[in-house]
Amino acid sequence: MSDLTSLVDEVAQRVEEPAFEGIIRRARTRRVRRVGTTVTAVGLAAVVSVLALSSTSGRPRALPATHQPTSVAATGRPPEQIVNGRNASPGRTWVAPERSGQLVARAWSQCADDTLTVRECEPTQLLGVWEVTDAAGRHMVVPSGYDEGRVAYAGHGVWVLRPASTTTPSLATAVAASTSLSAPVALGLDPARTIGMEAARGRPHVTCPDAPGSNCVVDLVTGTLVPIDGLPAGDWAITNDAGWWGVLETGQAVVEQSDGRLLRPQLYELVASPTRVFVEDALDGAVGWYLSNEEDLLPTTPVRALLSTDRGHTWTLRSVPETARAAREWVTELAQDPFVMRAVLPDDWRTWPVLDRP
Amino acid sequence: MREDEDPIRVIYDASYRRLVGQLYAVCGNRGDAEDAVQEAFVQAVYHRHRFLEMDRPEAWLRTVALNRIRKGWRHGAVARRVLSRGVTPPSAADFGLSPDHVDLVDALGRLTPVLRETFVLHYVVDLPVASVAAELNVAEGTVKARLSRGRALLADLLSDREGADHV
Repeated sequence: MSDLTSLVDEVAQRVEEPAFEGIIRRARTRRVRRVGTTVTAVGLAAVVSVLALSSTSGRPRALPATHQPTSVAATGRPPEQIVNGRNASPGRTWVAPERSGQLVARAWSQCADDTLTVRECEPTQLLGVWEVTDAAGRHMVVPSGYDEGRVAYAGHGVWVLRPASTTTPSLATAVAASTSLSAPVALGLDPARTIGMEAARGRPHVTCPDAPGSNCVVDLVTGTLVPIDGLPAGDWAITNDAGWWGVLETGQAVVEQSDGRLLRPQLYELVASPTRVFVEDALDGAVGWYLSNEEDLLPTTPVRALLSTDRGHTWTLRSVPETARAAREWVTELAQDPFVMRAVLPDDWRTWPVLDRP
Repeated sequence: MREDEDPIRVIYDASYRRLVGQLYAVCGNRGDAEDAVQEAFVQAVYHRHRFLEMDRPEAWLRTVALNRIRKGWRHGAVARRVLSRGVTPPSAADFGLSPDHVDLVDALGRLTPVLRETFVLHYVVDLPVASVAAELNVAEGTVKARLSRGRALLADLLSDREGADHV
Protein backbone atom coordinates (compact mmCIF):
# COMPACT_ATOMS: atom_id res chain seq x y z
CA MET A 1 0.00 0.00 0.00
CA SER A 2 2.97 2.28 -0.54
CA ASP A 3 1.03 4.13 -3.25
CA LEU A 4 -1.52 5.23 -0.69
CA THR A 5 1.16 6.42 1.68
CA SER A 6 2.96 8.31 -1.03
CA LEU A 7 -0.33 9.88 -2.12
CA VAL A 8 -0.87 11.24 1.35
CA ASP A 9 2.73 12.42 1.51
CA GLU A 10 2.41 14.20 -1.81
CA VAL A 11 -0.82 15.88 -0.77
CA ALA A 12 0.73 16.90 2.55
CA GLN A 13 3.64 18.51 0.72
CA ARG A 14 1.32 20.51 -1.47
CA VAL A 15 -1.10 21.67 1.18
CA GLU A 16 -0.86 25.29 2.19
CA GLU A 17 -1.36 25.53 5.90
CA PRO A 18 -3.65 28.46 6.77
CA ALA A 19 -2.62 30.76 9.59
CA PHE A 20 -3.34 29.32 13.00
CA GLU A 21 -4.71 32.70 14.05
CA GLY A 22 -7.61 32.10 11.68
CA ILE A 23 -8.49 28.92 13.55
CA ILE A 24 -8.35 30.81 16.84
CA ARG A 25 -10.60 33.52 15.46
CA ARG A 26 -13.18 31.02 14.27
CA ALA A 27 -13.22 29.29 17.63
CA ARG A 28 -13.62 32.59 19.47
CA THR A 29 -16.47 33.64 17.23
CA ARG A 30 -18.19 30.33 17.82
CA ARG A 31 -17.63 30.55 21.53
CA VAL A 32 -19.55 33.77 21.69
CA ARG A 33 -22.19 32.64 19.22
CA ARG A 34 -22.94 29.32 20.83
CA VAL A 35 -22.69 30.62 24.33
CA GLY A 36 -22.63 28.28 27.25
CA THR A 37 -18.86 28.24 27.28
CA THR A 38 -15.73 30.14 28.15
CA VAL A 39 -14.80 31.55 31.52
CA THR A 40 -11.73 29.86 32.78
CA ALA A 41 -11.84 28.31 36.22
CA VAL A 42 -14.69 30.58 37.04
CA GLY A 43 -17.57 28.13 36.76
CA LEU A 44 -15.85 25.50 38.81
CA ALA A 45 -15.41 27.94 41.63
CA ALA A 46 -19.04 28.93 41.29
CA VAL A 47 -20.06 25.28 41.65
CA VAL A 48 -18.05 25.19 44.82
CA SER A 49 -19.65 28.28 46.22
CA VAL A 50 -23.19 27.17 45.42
CA LEU A 51 -22.67 23.70 46.81
CA ALA A 52 -21.07 25.02 49.93
CA LEU A 53 -24.08 27.18 50.49
CA SER A 54 -26.69 24.57 49.70
CA SER A 55 -25.41 21.47 51.46
CA THR A 56 -26.02 20.58 55.05
CA SER A 57 -24.59 17.96 57.33
CA GLY A 58 -26.00 14.52 56.75
CA ARG A 59 -27.00 15.65 53.31
CA PRO A 60 -25.07 15.27 50.10
CA ARG A 61 -21.72 16.81 50.73
CA ALA A 62 -20.20 19.86 49.19
CA LEU A 63 -16.81 20.11 47.61
CA PRO A 64 -13.92 20.73 49.97
CA ALA A 65 -13.67 24.26 51.23
CA THR A 66 -10.13 24.53 49.94
CA HIS A 67 -11.49 25.66 46.59
CA GLN A 68 -11.40 29.43 46.50
CA PRO A 69 -14.18 31.49 45.01
CA THR A 70 -13.16 33.50 42.00
CA SER A 71 -14.63 36.24 39.94
CA VAL A 72 -17.98 34.58 39.28
CA ALA A 73 -18.65 34.34 42.94
CA ALA A 74 -17.34 37.86 43.25
CA THR A 75 -20.09 39.09 40.98
CA GLY A 76 -22.50 38.03 43.68
CA ARG A 77 -25.02 37.03 41.06
CA PRO A 78 -27.14 34.04 42.02
CA PRO A 79 -27.05 31.42 39.26
CA GLU A 80 -30.85 31.49 39.18
CA GLN A 81 -30.67 34.99 37.79
CA ILE A 82 -28.71 33.85 34.78
CA VAL A 83 -31.51 31.62 33.50
CA ASN A 84 -33.82 33.87 31.48
CA GLY A 85 -31.90 36.78 32.93
CA ARG A 86 -31.33 40.06 31.18
CA ASN A 87 -29.41 39.45 27.96
CA ALA A 88 -28.87 35.80 28.92
CA SER A 89 -28.72 33.27 26.11
CA PRO A 90 -29.70 29.60 26.08
CA GLY A 91 -27.09 27.22 24.69
CA ARG A 92 -27.01 23.51 24.05
CA THR A 93 -29.91 21.33 25.18
CA TRP A 94 -29.76 17.69 26.26
CA VAL A 95 -32.96 15.63 26.39
CA ALA A 96 -32.96 12.55 28.60
CA PRO A 97 -33.83 9.29 26.79
CA GLU A 98 -37.14 8.96 28.63
CA ARG A 99 -40.44 8.47 26.85
CA SER A 100 -41.86 11.62 28.40
CA GLY A 101 -39.14 13.58 26.61
CA GLN A 102 -39.47 16.23 29.28
CA LEU A 103 -36.34 15.81 31.35
CA VAL A 104 -34.03 18.39 29.91
CA ALA A 105 -30.70 19.95 30.72
CA ARG A 106 -29.84 23.25 29.10
CA ALA A 107 -26.77 25.43 29.17
CA TRP A 108 -27.21 29.19 29.69
CA SER A 109 -24.79 32.06 29.73
CA GLN A 110 -24.85 35.71 30.53
CA CYS A 111 -22.35 38.52 30.66
CA ALA A 112 -21.17 39.69 34.07
CA ASP A 113 -22.16 43.13 32.81
CA ASP A 114 -25.77 42.36 32.06
CA THR A 115 -26.16 45.47 29.97
CA LEU A 116 -24.15 43.61 27.37
CA THR A 117 -25.34 40.69 25.30
CA VAL A 118 -23.37 37.49 25.22
CA ARG A 119 -22.12 38.45 21.77
CA GLU A 120 -20.82 41.74 23.07
CA CYS A 121 -19.29 40.26 26.19
CA GLU A 122 -15.61 39.72 26.79
CA PRO A 123 -15.16 35.95 27.05
CA THR A 124 -13.65 36.27 30.51
CA GLN A 125 -16.82 37.98 31.70
CA LEU A 126 -19.23 35.25 30.65
CA LEU A 127 -21.12 33.40 33.37
CA GLY A 128 -22.51 29.94 32.65
CA VAL A 129 -25.03 27.62 34.29
CA TRP A 130 -26.84 24.40 33.54
CA GLU A 131 -30.58 24.37 34.09
CA VAL A 132 -32.22 21.00 34.68
CA THR A 133 -36.01 20.88 34.26
CA ASP A 134 -38.78 18.29 34.38
CA ALA A 135 -42.35 17.91 33.15
CA ALA A 136 -43.76 19.43 36.32
CA GLY A 137 -41.87 22.64 35.71
CA ARG A 138 -39.46 22.08 38.57
CA HIS A 139 -35.90 23.07 37.93
CA MET A 140 -32.43 23.16 39.40
CA VAL A 141 -29.61 25.43 38.39
CA VAL A 142 -25.94 24.48 38.64
CA PRO A 143 -23.07 26.76 37.68
CA SER A 144 -21.13 25.39 34.77
CA GLY A 145 -17.46 25.86 34.22
CA TYR A 146 -15.29 26.80 31.35
CA ASP A 147 -16.80 25.29 28.22
CA GLU A 148 -20.08 23.40 28.23
CA GLY A 149 -18.50 20.63 30.29
CA ARG A 150 -19.74 17.10 30.11
CA VAL A 151 -23.34 16.12 30.59
CA ALA A 152 -24.52 12.55 31.08
CA TYR A 153 -27.95 11.26 31.94
CA ALA A 154 -27.75 8.63 34.67
CA GLY A 155 -31.40 7.58 34.80
CA HIS A 156 -34.10 8.20 37.39
CA GLY A 157 -34.04 11.89 36.61
CA VAL A 158 -30.42 12.32 37.64
CA TRP A 159 -27.89 14.16 35.51
CA VAL A 160 -24.17 13.99 36.12
CA LEU A 161 -22.55 17.27 35.17
CA ARG A 162 -18.84 17.81 34.93
CA PRO A 163 -17.66 21.38 34.55
CA ALA A 164 -14.70 21.68 32.26
CA SER A 165 -11.54 21.79 34.27
CA THR A 166 -8.54 24.00 33.83
CA THR A 167 -6.42 21.13 35.09
CA THR A 168 -6.52 17.38 34.74
CA PRO A 169 -10.12 16.23 35.19
CA SER A 170 -10.91 15.31 38.72
CA LEU A 171 -13.80 13.28 39.95
CA ALA A 172 -14.27 15.96 42.56
CA THR A 173 -15.62 18.26 39.85
CA ALA A 174 -18.61 16.05 39.02
CA VAL A 175 -22.00 17.18 40.27
CA ALA A 176 -25.32 15.31 40.34
CA ALA A 177 -28.39 17.38 39.57
CA SER A 178 -32.03 16.43 39.65
CA THR A 179 -35.26 18.30 40.10
CA SER A 180 -36.10 15.85 42.88
CA LEU A 181 -33.10 16.96 44.93
CA SER A 182 -33.11 19.97 47.18
CA ALA A 183 -29.59 20.89 46.09
CA PRO A 184 -26.91 19.70 43.68
CA VAL A 185 -24.71 16.93 45.01
CA ALA A 186 -20.95 17.08 44.61
CA LEU A 187 -19.60 13.69 43.60
CA GLY A 188 -16.26 12.36 44.73
CA LEU A 189 -14.72 8.93 44.45
CA ASP A 190 -14.20 6.58 47.34
CA PRO A 191 -11.44 4.40 45.87
CA ALA A 192 -11.89 1.72 48.50
CA ARG A 193 -15.55 1.16 47.78
CA THR A 194 -17.35 -0.81 45.09
CA ILE A 195 -20.91 -2.02 44.68
CA GLY A 196 -22.13 -5.34 43.32
CA MET A 197 -24.08 -5.70 40.10
CA GLU A 198 -27.31 -6.65 41.78
CA ALA A 199 -27.12 -3.91 44.36
CA ALA A 200 -26.43 -1.43 41.59
CA ARG A 201 -29.40 -2.49 39.48
CA GLY A 202 -32.14 0.11 39.16
CA ARG A 203 -29.93 2.90 40.44
CA PRO A 204 -28.62 5.90 38.50
CA HIS A 205 -25.35 5.06 36.84
CA VAL A 206 -22.94 6.52 34.33
CA THR A 207 -19.72 5.59 32.64
CA CYS A 208 -17.05 6.11 35.27
CA PRO A 209 -15.25 9.36 34.50
CA ASP A 210 -11.97 8.79 32.71
CA ALA A 211 -12.57 5.04 32.67
CA PRO A 212 -14.48 4.15 29.50
CA GLY A 213 -16.04 0.72 29.65
CA SER A 214 -16.53 0.77 33.39
CA ASN A 215 -19.66 1.93 35.10
CA CYS A 216 -20.28 3.75 38.37
CA VAL A 217 -23.39 4.07 40.47
CA VAL A 218 -24.30 7.62 41.42
CA ASP A 219 -24.73 7.46 45.19
CA LEU A 220 -26.64 10.60 46.07
CA VAL A 221 -26.62 9.89 49.80
CA THR A 222 -22.88 9.71 50.20
CA GLY A 223 -22.04 11.94 47.24
CA THR A 224 -19.87 9.37 45.53
CA LEU A 225 -19.45 7.66 42.21
CA VAL A 226 -19.08 4.00 43.12
CA PRO A 227 -17.54 1.55 40.62
CA ILE A 228 -19.78 -1.44 39.92
CA ASP A 229 -18.03 -4.67 40.74
CA GLY A 230 -18.53 -7.68 38.46
CA LEU A 231 -20.12 -5.84 35.58
CA PRO A 232 -18.20 -6.86 32.46
CA ALA A 233 -16.56 -4.07 30.53
CA GLY A 234 -18.87 -2.67 27.89
CA ASP A 235 -21.69 -0.25 27.26
CA TRP A 236 -24.80 -0.76 29.37
CA ALA A 237 -28.35 0.48 29.08
CA ILE A 238 -29.63 2.94 31.63
CA THR A 239 -32.95 1.12 31.77
CA ASN A 240 -32.12 -1.85 33.95
CA ASP A 241 -34.89 -2.33 36.50
CA ALA A 242 -35.43 -5.82 35.06
CA GLY A 243 -31.71 -6.54 34.83
CA TRP A 244 -28.59 -5.29 33.14
CA TRP A 245 -28.29 -5.42 29.37
CA GLY A 246 -25.79 -4.00 26.98
CA VAL A 247 -22.95 -4.67 24.60
CA LEU A 248 -19.64 -6.09 25.74
CA GLU A 249 -16.36 -4.70 24.46
CA THR A 250 -16.30 -7.64 22.07
CA GLY A 251 -19.46 -6.36 20.43
CA GLN A 252 -21.51 -9.21 21.85
CA ALA A 253 -24.95 -8.57 23.30
CA VAL A 254 -25.60 -9.50 26.91
CA VAL A 255 -28.88 -9.57 28.82
CA GLU A 256 -29.17 -10.40 32.50
CA GLN A 257 -31.87 -12.94 33.36
CA SER A 258 -34.08 -12.99 36.41
CA ASP A 259 -31.74 -15.48 38.09
CA GLY A 260 -28.75 -13.20 37.58
CA ARG A 261 -27.33 -15.26 34.73
CA LEU A 262 -25.97 -13.29 31.79
CA LEU A 263 -27.47 -14.47 28.52
CA ARG A 264 -25.19 -13.76 25.57
CA PRO A 265 -27.24 -14.08 22.40
CA GLN A 266 -25.38 -14.36 19.13
CA LEU A 267 -26.60 -11.39 17.16
CA TYR A 268 -24.74 -11.07 13.91
CA GLU A 269 -26.67 -7.92 13.02
CA LEU A 270 -25.46 -6.22 16.17
CA VAL A 271 -21.83 -7.24 15.79
CA ALA A 272 -21.75 -6.31 12.13
CA SER A 273 -23.45 -2.96 12.53
CA PRO A 274 -21.08 -0.01 12.59
CA THR A 275 -23.61 2.03 14.53
CA ARG A 276 -25.83 1.16 17.44
CA VAL A 277 -28.12 3.27 19.58
CA PHE A 278 -29.53 1.87 22.81
CA VAL A 279 -33.31 2.00 23.10
CA GLU A 280 -34.18 3.21 26.57
CA ASP A 281 -37.39 3.36 28.56
CA ALA A 282 -39.19 1.22 25.99
CA LEU A 283 -42.78 0.14 26.32
CA ASP A 284 -43.26 -3.45 27.56
CA GLY A 285 -39.66 -3.64 28.73
CA ALA A 286 -38.32 -4.10 25.23
CA VAL A 287 -34.55 -4.07 24.94
CA GLY A 288 -32.48 -3.56 21.82
CA TRP A 289 -30.80 -1.13 19.51
CA TYR A 290 -31.29 0.97 16.45
CA LEU A 291 -28.84 -0.22 13.85
CA SER A 292 -27.71 0.90 10.47
CA ASN A 293 -25.82 -1.18 8.01
CA GLU A 294 -22.30 -0.45 6.92
CA GLU A 295 -23.54 1.85 4.19
CA ASP A 296 -25.16 4.03 6.79
CA LEU A 297 -23.25 7.06 5.68
CA LEU A 298 -25.86 7.99 3.13
CA PRO A 299 -29.18 9.64 3.93
CA THR A 300 -31.11 6.96 2.12
CA THR A 301 -29.66 4.15 4.21
CA PRO A 302 -32.30 2.01 5.91
CA VAL A 303 -32.41 2.12 9.68
CA ARG A 304 -33.36 -1.03 11.54
CA ALA A 305 -34.35 -1.83 15.08
CA LEU A 306 -33.21 -5.06 16.72
CA LEU A 307 -35.55 -5.71 19.63
CA SER A 308 -36.43 -8.33 22.21
CA THR A 309 -39.35 -8.40 24.61
CA ASP A 310 -38.35 -11.59 26.44
CA ARG A 311 -35.01 -10.61 27.89
CA GLY A 312 -32.99 -11.58 24.89
CA HIS A 313 -34.33 -15.07 24.13
CA THR A 314 -35.95 -14.06 20.86
CA TRP A 315 -35.34 -11.06 18.67
CA THR A 316 -36.98 -9.30 15.77
CA LEU A 317 -35.24 -7.11 13.27
CA ARG A 318 -37.57 -4.42 12.04
CA SER A 319 -37.33 -1.70 9.47
CA VAL A 320 -37.68 1.76 10.92
CA PRO A 321 -40.06 3.57 8.57
CA GLU A 322 -39.13 6.94 7.21
CA THR A 323 -42.17 8.35 8.96
CA ALA A 324 -40.55 7.55 12.32
CA ARG A 325 -38.57 10.72 12.04
CA ALA A 326 -37.53 11.03 15.66
CA ALA A 327 -36.11 7.54 15.68
CA ARG A 328 -34.17 8.12 12.48
CA GLU A 329 -32.81 11.46 13.61
CA TRP A 330 -31.25 9.86 16.66
CA VAL A 331 -29.36 7.49 14.41
CA THR A 332 -28.27 9.98 11.79
CA GLU A 333 -26.73 12.19 14.45
CA LEU A 334 -24.67 9.28 15.72
CA ALA A 335 -21.26 10.20 14.49
CA GLN A 336 -21.29 13.49 16.35
CA ASP A 337 -20.71 11.88 19.70
CA PRO A 338 -18.08 9.29 20.54
CA PHE A 339 -19.88 8.11 23.66
CA VAL A 340 -22.77 5.72 24.14
CA MET A 341 -25.79 6.78 22.15
CA ARG A 342 -29.26 6.39 23.60
CA ALA A 343 -32.69 6.95 22.18
CA VAL A 344 -36.30 6.25 22.95
CA LEU A 345 -38.49 3.77 21.11
CA PRO A 346 -41.87 5.02 19.87
CA ASP A 347 -44.80 3.13 21.38
CA ASP A 348 -46.00 2.00 17.95
CA TRP A 349 -42.79 0.14 17.11
CA ARG A 350 -44.71 -3.15 16.78
CA THR A 351 -46.26 -1.82 13.58
CA TRP A 352 -42.84 -1.55 11.94
CA PRO A 353 -42.25 -4.19 9.27
CA VAL A 354 -40.40 -7.29 10.45
CA LEU A 355 -37.32 -7.98 8.35
CA ASP A 356 -35.98 -11.00 10.16
CA ARG A 357 -36.12 -13.03 13.33
CA PRO A 358 -32.45 -13.73 14.00
CA MET B 1 0.07 32.53 27.09
CA ARG B 2 1.66 33.81 23.91
CA GLU B 3 0.01 32.36 20.82
CA ASP B 4 3.29 30.95 19.56
CA GLU B 5 3.50 28.97 22.80
CA ASP B 6 0.02 27.57 22.37
CA PRO B 7 0.28 23.76 22.56
CA ILE B 8 -2.54 23.45 20.03
CA ARG B 9 -0.47 25.48 17.58
CA VAL B 10 2.37 23.00 18.02
CA ILE B 11 -0.02 20.16 17.19
CA TYR B 12 -1.43 22.21 14.34
CA ASP B 13 2.01 22.75 12.81
CA ALA B 14 2.89 19.08 13.18
CA SER B 15 -0.39 17.50 12.10
CA TYR B 16 -2.37 19.78 9.81
CA ARG B 17 -0.82 18.75 6.51
CA ARG B 18 -0.73 15.08 7.37
CA LEU B 19 -4.40 15.13 8.38
CA VAL B 20 -5.41 16.90 5.19
CA GLY B 21 -3.56 14.23 3.24
CA GLN B 22 -5.36 11.46 5.11
CA LEU B 23 -8.76 13.09 4.81
CA TYR B 24 -8.16 13.78 1.15
CA ALA B 25 -7.57 10.08 0.62
CA VAL B 26 -10.92 9.43 2.29
CA CYS B 27 -13.06 12.02 0.54
CA GLY B 28 -11.11 12.78 -2.64
CA ASN B 29 -11.88 16.48 -2.51
CA ARG B 30 -9.41 19.13 -1.47
CA GLY B 31 -11.95 21.62 -0.20
CA ASP B 32 -13.82 19.06 1.87
CA ALA B 33 -10.60 17.68 3.34
CA GLU B 34 -9.25 21.08 4.31
CA ASP B 35 -12.61 22.24 5.68
CA ALA B 36 -12.91 19.10 7.79
CA VAL B 37 -9.43 19.38 9.28
CA GLN B 38 -9.79 23.09 9.96
CA GLU B 39 -13.12 22.44 11.63
CA ALA B 40 -11.48 19.80 13.80
CA PHE B 41 -8.88 22.34 14.95
CA VAL B 42 -11.60 24.90 15.61
CA GLN B 43 -13.27 22.29 17.81
CA ALA B 44 -9.96 21.63 19.52
CA VAL B 45 -9.52 25.30 20.34
CA TYR B 46 -13.15 25.58 21.36
CA HIS B 47 -12.79 22.63 23.72
CA ARG B 48 -9.19 23.51 24.56
CA HIS B 49 -8.85 21.98 27.98
CA ARG B 50 -10.60 18.77 27.14
CA PHE B 51 -8.54 18.48 23.97
CA LEU B 52 -5.24 18.98 25.75
CA GLU B 53 -6.11 16.28 28.24
CA MET B 54 -6.30 13.68 25.49
CA ASP B 55 -3.69 11.01 25.12
CA ARG B 56 -3.89 10.98 21.32
CA PRO B 57 -4.91 14.42 20.13
CA GLU B 58 -4.22 13.71 16.46
CA ALA B 59 -6.52 10.69 16.57
CA TRP B 60 -9.23 12.85 18.08
CA LEU B 61 -8.73 15.47 15.37
CA ARG B 62 -8.96 12.80 12.71
CA THR B 63 -12.16 11.43 14.22
CA VAL B 64 -13.77 14.87 14.32
CA ALA B 65 -12.70 15.54 10.75
CA LEU B 66 -14.00 12.16 9.61
CA ASN B 67 -17.28 12.86 11.33
CA ARG B 68 -17.59 16.07 9.38
CA ILE B 69 -16.91 14.25 6.15
CA ARG B 70 -19.49 11.60 7.07
CA LYS B 71 -21.98 14.30 7.89
CA GLY B 72 -21.40 15.74 4.46
CA TRP B 73 -22.05 12.33 2.97
CA ARG B 74 -25.22 12.02 4.94
CA HIS B 75 -26.44 15.36 3.83
CA GLY B 76 -25.98 14.35 0.29
CA ALA B 77 -23.80 17.03 -1.18
CA VAL B 78 -20.61 15.06 -1.06
CA ALA B 79 -22.45 11.81 -1.57
CA ARG B 80 -23.74 12.95 -4.89
CA ARG B 81 -20.24 13.82 -5.95
CA VAL B 82 -18.81 10.56 -4.70
CA LEU B 83 -21.55 8.48 -6.22
CA SER B 84 -21.51 10.11 -9.61
CA ARG B 85 -19.15 7.42 -10.74
CA GLY B 86 -17.57 7.80 -14.12
CA VAL B 87 -18.66 11.40 -14.30
CA THR B 88 -16.49 13.09 -11.72
CA PRO B 89 -13.35 14.52 -13.24
CA PRO B 90 -10.16 13.44 -11.49
CA SER B 91 -10.34 15.57 -8.42
CA ALA B 92 -6.68 14.85 -7.71
CA ALA B 93 -6.03 17.77 -10.02
CA ASP B 94 -6.86 19.79 -6.91
CA PHE B 95 -3.29 19.36 -5.81
CA GLY B 96 -1.60 18.93 -9.15
CA LEU B 97 -0.78 15.35 -8.25
CA SER B 98 1.23 12.93 -10.31
CA PRO B 99 -0.74 10.83 -12.84
CA ASP B 100 -0.36 7.69 -10.71
CA HIS B 101 -1.88 9.41 -7.76
CA VAL B 102 -4.66 10.87 -9.87
CA ASP B 103 -5.53 7.31 -10.89
CA LEU B 104 -5.37 6.15 -7.31
CA VAL B 105 -7.65 8.93 -6.05
CA ASP B 106 -10.04 8.17 -8.87
CA ALA B 107 -10.06 4.49 -7.91
CA LEU B 108 -10.51 5.26 -4.23
CA GLY B 109 -13.45 7.45 -5.15
CA ARG B 110 -15.14 4.44 -6.65
CA LEU B 111 -15.09 2.55 -3.38
CA THR B 112 -17.97 3.02 -0.99
CA PRO B 113 -17.31 5.57 1.76
CA VAL B 114 -16.97 2.95 4.49
CA LEU B 115 -14.54 0.87 2.48
CA ARG B 116 -12.46 3.92 1.69
CA GLU B 117 -12.44 5.06 5.29
CA THR B 118 -11.46 1.64 6.57
CA PHE B 119 -8.76 1.37 3.94
CA VAL B 120 -7.22 4.72 4.75
CA LEU B 121 -7.22 4.17 8.50
CA HIS B 122 -5.43 0.88 8.10
CA TYR B 123 -3.06 1.47 5.23
CA VAL B 124 -2.41 5.20 5.49
CA VAL B 125 -2.82 6.03 9.15
CA ASP B 126 -1.24 2.66 9.86
CA LEU B 127 -3.69 1.68 12.55
CA PRO B 128 -3.87 -2.03 13.38
CA VAL B 129 -7.12 -3.80 12.65
CA ALA B 130 -8.20 -3.70 16.28
CA SER B 131 -7.72 0.07 16.44
CA VAL B 132 -9.59 0.61 13.18
CA ALA B 133 -12.42 -1.50 14.57
CA ALA B 134 -12.47 0.59 17.73
CA GLU B 135 -12.33 3.86 15.82
CA LEU B 136 -15.16 2.86 13.50
CA ASN B 137 -17.12 1.04 16.20
CA VAL B 138 -17.30 -2.21 14.25
CA ALA B 139 -16.09 -5.73 14.88
CA GLU B 140 -12.56 -6.67 13.84
CA GLY B 141 -14.01 -9.21 11.45
CA THR B 142 -15.92 -6.43 9.71
CA VAL B 143 -12.69 -4.47 9.26
CA LYS B 144 -10.89 -7.48 7.84
CA ALA B 145 -13.75 -8.15 5.46
CA ARG B 146 -13.77 -4.54 4.30
CA LEU B 147 -10.02 -4.54 3.76
CA SER B 148 -10.24 -7.71 1.76
CA ARG B 149 -13.07 -6.38 -0.33
CA GLY B 150 -11.33 -3.05 -0.79
CA ARG B 151 -8.09 -4.68 -1.91
CA ALA B 152 -9.91 -6.75 -4.47
CA LEU B 153 -11.86 -3.79 -5.80
CA LEU B 154 -8.82 -1.53 -5.99
CA ALA B 155 -6.76 -4.19 -7.70
CA ASP B 156 -9.54 -4.55 -10.23
CA LEU B 157 -9.92 -0.81 -10.74
CA LEU B 158 -6.21 -0.31 -11.15
CA SER B 159 -5.56 -3.43 -13.17
CA ASP B 160 -4.67 -1.40 -16.21
CA ARG B 161 -1.98 0.38 -14.30
CA GLU B 162 1.51 -0.92 -14.05
CA GLY B 163 2.12 -2.13 -10.53
CA ALA B 164 -1.51 -1.94 -9.63
CA ASP B 165 -1.31 -5.20 -7.75
CA HIS B 166 1.06 -3.54 -5.32
CA VAL B 167 -1.39 -0.88 -4.27
